[in-house]
Amino acid sequence: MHRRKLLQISTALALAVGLGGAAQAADPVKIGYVGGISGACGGLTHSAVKAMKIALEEINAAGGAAGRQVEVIWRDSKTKPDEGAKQARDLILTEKVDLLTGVCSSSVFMAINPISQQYGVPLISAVSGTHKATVDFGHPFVFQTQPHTLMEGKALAEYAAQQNWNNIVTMGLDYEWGRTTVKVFTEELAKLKPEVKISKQLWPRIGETNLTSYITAALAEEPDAIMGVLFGSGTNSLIKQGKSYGLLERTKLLTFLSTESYMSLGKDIPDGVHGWARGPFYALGSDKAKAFVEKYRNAHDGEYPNDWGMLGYDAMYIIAQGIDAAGGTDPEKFRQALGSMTFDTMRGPLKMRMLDNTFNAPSYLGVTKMSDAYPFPTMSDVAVISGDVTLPSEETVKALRAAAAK
Amino acid sequence: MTPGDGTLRDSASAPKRGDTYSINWRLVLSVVVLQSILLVVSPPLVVFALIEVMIFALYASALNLLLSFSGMVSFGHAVYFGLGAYGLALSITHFDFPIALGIIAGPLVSAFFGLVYGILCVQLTAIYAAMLTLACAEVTFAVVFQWFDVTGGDSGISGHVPTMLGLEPYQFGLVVLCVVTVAILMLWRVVYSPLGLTIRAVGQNPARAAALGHGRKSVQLIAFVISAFFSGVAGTLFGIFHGNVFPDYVGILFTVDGLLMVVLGGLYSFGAGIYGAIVYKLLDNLAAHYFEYWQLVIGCIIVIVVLVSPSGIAGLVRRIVSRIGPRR
Repeated sequence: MHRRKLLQISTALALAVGLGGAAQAADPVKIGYVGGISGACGGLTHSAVKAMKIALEEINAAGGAAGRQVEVIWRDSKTKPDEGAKQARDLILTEKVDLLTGVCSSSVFMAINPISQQYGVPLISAVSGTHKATVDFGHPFVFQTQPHTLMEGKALAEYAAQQNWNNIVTMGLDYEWGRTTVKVFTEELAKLKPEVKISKQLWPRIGETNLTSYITAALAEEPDAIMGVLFGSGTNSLIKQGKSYGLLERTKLLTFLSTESYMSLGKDIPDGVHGWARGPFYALGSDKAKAFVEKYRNAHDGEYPNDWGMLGYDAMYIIAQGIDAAGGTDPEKFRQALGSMTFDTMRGPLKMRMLDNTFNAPSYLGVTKMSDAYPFPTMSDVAVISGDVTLPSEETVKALRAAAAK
Repeated sequence: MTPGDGTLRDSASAPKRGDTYSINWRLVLSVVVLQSILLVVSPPLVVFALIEVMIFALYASALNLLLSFSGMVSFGHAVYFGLGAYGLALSITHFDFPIALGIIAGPLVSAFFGLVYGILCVQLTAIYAAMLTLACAEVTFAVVFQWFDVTGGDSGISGHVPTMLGLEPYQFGLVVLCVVTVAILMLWRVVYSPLGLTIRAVGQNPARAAALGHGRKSVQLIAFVISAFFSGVAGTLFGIFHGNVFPDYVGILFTVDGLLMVVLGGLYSFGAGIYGAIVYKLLDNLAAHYFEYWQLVIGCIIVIVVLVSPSGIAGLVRRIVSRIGPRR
């Protein structure tokens, strides 16, 4: 009995000493990544993970953040909100992470958001489109580094107002992203250029691959442009099926075209489509961006990073530099640091406003063109619309928060 | 691990008259006590896992009432699970219900939709009825996903109820344990009551049951509504557990999860949902942790289990118990 007790005590002591020693020696900054590595986001997230790993390597090689090495624990949300919530909790409670990042799919972001709030662990979204987490349900420790739905809707309106388009048909996927983007676009465009007529609003179902009825309905209005809030197979179908109706000869098309779409559709995307993107590597002229793209391609068989890769790389640096400036991972100091500095990112200098912890991330709009530089078409004459223009006003933020708190 | 775990005597097939199917209270009590201790002493993360298992044990048991006993297949049962969570959320956000009333509304909304869809589905039998359940589920998912002014679309509804009612995880775990235990015991009562006998009779031989004066449609409809109600209880608990609700909760993946649990657990046995929930959730958590292609691993394990023991884990447990345990 005595011997057993002795054994227990000595084991406990040994463990305590061992753990204490280890903690003193390394004590890295721990970041928990939760993203849709599998599931619906799988096709987009892979590039973000690869890019964030490159950033992490660079950051650690340069001495880490606040003098500490940075460690990331990667978790798959399976693009399911409950799974994402579970992983986030696990990261906080078991792994004791200092911060959370990642996220793809709005629902997973919304599911993790209250957990970040509950435990006071900062959540820095690298790749999520919804504005609801930072605006409607914002709390001091949730951050958004990419343009969200409200910002993109406004960017689209700014772009459309600069074109010679007076009659526009909107075609938005019939769910939250499509509806919200079209709503903001319509409202903002009415302010910028009241004479523009939105002659029809069409709402194709998500997953609908036969868009011919929508195409003919849109063309019947003889619009100057069709504004399509579609992605993936939706964009694909619109462009391919539009061809047989001479869509691009009869009108202009403005739609979401991330690098992923260019790579998968290739030459199926004709020249002359107006596209919008969040982080097109080919349009970012900075040396930083060029060096990253080269590094990424060397590490991954010549593959190009998609928009999510560019956003992920930037987010990792924003986190590390924020920790550096805060001198550690104290959430409030981290927030103050993010709000008080300018980040030199691949997308240019970015600043965060304290109102809703949102960065003035730019949107990129341009016209597709096949060139010899890449094996797929890219956008030329890219217009960069700064987040300073597109961020929602303080009144809007307050009104949305009041409505959400009801 | 979970109430009723393995110990309620499973012998759905060929119930004999005179069999009591009384509840083994000693067993139920010991499982509840054991589970309570586990909830109190475990670190939060294990508590969360236990809560999840309990909620899914109830959901799968409710589905099992249809699959194993009533002779129906539901390819859209997540609807009743998810509508429990939506019933709770919408009654609070849109009708200003207090939380307590919202919690009651959740399962009732599920039962209501169980009644409406059930009336449609019992008109058909076999695969046709199953396809109709799938169609109803698709319609519901589309409405929840697209009607975003009301349902919040794919970013769901949050903030209507404090996560776990603001309780400590173990406290909420104890609440869930109570609710799930009572609900599963009620399901047991249903299956082994005269009503349950009728349900099983209809499930096994509708023509003969009809000859005895028990119409298939009405009996199956009752089973459908009961199953929807208890799925709704599970869904409401899940909605409180996470403090939010998303269209995924009514989506096909939750339906498939439930079906897999029942099949893994062992069709035609009352404990199927409970065993299945424990094993499936364990696999789900571990496989994704250790394997990149976790779906493949889980798929292979399920195929192996089904091939090795077609009667699932319940069958396996029965065999082991009959080998080592005292003969009944």
